[in-house]
Amino acid sequence: MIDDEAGAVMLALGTDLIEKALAGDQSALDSLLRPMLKPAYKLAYMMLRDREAAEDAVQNAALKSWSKLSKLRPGSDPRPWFLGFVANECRNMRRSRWRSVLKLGARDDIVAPSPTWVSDLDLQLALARLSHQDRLVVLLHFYLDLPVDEVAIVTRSGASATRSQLYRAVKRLKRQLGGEEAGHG
Amino acid sequence: MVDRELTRDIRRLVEDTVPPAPWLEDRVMVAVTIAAERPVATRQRPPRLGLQAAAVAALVIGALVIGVLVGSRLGANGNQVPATKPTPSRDPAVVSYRALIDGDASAVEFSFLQNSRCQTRETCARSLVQTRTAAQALLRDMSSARAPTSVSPAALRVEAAAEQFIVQLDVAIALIQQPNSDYVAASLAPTIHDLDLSVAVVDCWPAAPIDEEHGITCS
Repeated sequence: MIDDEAGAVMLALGTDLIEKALAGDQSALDSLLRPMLKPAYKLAYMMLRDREAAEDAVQNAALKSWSKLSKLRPGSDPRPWFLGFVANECRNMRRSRWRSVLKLGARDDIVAPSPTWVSDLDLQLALARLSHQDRLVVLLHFYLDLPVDEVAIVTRSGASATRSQLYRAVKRLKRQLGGEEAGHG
Repeated sequence: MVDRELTRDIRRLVEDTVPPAPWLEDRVMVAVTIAAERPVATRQRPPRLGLQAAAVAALVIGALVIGVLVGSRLGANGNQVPATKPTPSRDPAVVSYRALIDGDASAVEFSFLQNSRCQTRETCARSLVQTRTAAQALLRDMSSARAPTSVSPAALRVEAAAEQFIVQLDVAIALIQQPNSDYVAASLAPTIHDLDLSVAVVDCWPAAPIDEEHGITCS
């Protein structure tokens, strides 16, 4: 979930902050980018299931978004715009050949089972069985709280198509979980 | 399961599953800050280089001349290749040729991205040399493999872009090796975009690549 603080910062951001960042104002750049990094990393990790790959995806996305910052429309929210770069990096990394090499998890990736371990595992498997794009829209909407129109910006689709995709993805997810097939409002 | 429960469960799953990366924010901000400062650093470089500037400038000019010559030579060759009518890319030769190029180009890009994190003159130089080696491997593999006729003009573009990229790397490596040079600016100077775009021409054929805001996609 995006922190409240991060959300507030994002909403408060205007053209002014972006212009300052472009002009070389270090604190503006920091305020603009830093709050988006942690949620972006969590999204990337859930998409790639690899800590190093997720870190690289976020760093590459940050560098690419910085180089294109001047193209960000004045007054628009940089959060879905930045997450679009992250999503694209995840897609590229998944396609890249070197990512297909089996990687053994680092020791610090191993965490103690939580009390909800079994249900977490079911959900994890169900999410893993979704297509890359389905998983992306589910995480953007349900984890990062992005409204459908912002999910559409990230996935570069229309709002209507995104709503349909989200509906279908949730239906598939629930089917995997063996639960009801209630639609998504 | 209602959506509120799904939201709660997904959030809990993410929080329980994702390993912490407390260093990530600083690491990314350092990389972006360096990239953001690049134009300033480049402007400041000549006064700091002093007497070595002339030698370095000569090297840069020489490399650029070579780059232009290489580019124009290969560009002319590309024009001599007859236009190929696009056909559906089910040709196994095209598929395997793409796999060859994609594998090598991914290695180049991966190595090049590591470069953005280098913190010392030595690591920056080593990183660029590794990238150069990967780019040479791409060229070597391309020269030993026969490009299918349908993508041969695109393959020539990849070779030209790879050669130009190597020229840029050579310039950057030479600058980094100058004792008082701005090695951070030098290491960030080469751009892989043209090479990426040329590889996308092969990947996308018979469609064309589109250089979009979020990256390159096929039309």
